[in-house]
Amino acid sequence: MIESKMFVVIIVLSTVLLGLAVYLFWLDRRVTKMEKEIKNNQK
Amino acid sequence: MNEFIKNNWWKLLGVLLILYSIVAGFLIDIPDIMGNIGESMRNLFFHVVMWFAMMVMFGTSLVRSLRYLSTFDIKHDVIAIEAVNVGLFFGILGIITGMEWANYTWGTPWTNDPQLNGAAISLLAYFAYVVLRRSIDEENKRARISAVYNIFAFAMLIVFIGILPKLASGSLHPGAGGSQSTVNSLDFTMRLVFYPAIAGWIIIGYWLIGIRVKMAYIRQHLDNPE
Repeated sequence: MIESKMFVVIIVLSTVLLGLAVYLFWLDRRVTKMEKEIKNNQK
Repeated sequence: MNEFIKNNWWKLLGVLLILYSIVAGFLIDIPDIMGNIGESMRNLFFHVVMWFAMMVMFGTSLVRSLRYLSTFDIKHDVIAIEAVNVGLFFGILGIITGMEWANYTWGTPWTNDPQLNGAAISLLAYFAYVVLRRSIDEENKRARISAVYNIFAFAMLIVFIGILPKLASGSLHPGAGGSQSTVNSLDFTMRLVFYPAIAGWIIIGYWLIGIRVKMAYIRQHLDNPE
């Protein structure tokens, strides 16, 4: 049945998306920290 | 953690909206309206949404360029260029995914079609914006000149994507003259996935702009240590 195989596709794509999202959140944190560090050093 | 959620909840919302579009996009029933397009119609949620997100990014950039021209606050110019960068990212993905879909559906990755050519030309106009900026060293001069160019680039975008295709006589691509626009006649169930997906990608676009703006700030301060 096609529908049951479709679930695998959904799970795979969701995993890819969530992986990218986690990476993006990490990157965001990293960059925000660096920005704060520079701003603090300027004071 | 609560502090984090308070500032970043909207980013999570964007991710969830796209996650929803992946799940619902594959599970809902698709009407069989166009030729041999069949299930690949679901690409609406992944290919077409790229273009809508791109339009919003370029629109945002235009607004920031206009705001720069009226205030001369360099902050607007920084956002304007990063919005273009993110818009180009979505546009390139739109072109590539479109070529993949076209090759599968029409047998060729490209056709001599006003909407396809128009999209390509519009992206070229924005690549020219990036190149123009690199040719000017002085910050304020660069901001001023590229802000004016941005207005022309957006006007070209409207003409080449929005106006000319509608005037054309025959087109394979939906929405151009001679064929039915998918969005106007979109099945209601598909709209329930289509619109949230666009919202999700727009949010991701703004998130990317924010990160890029911060990176630009960091790079600027690394290049000019005080």
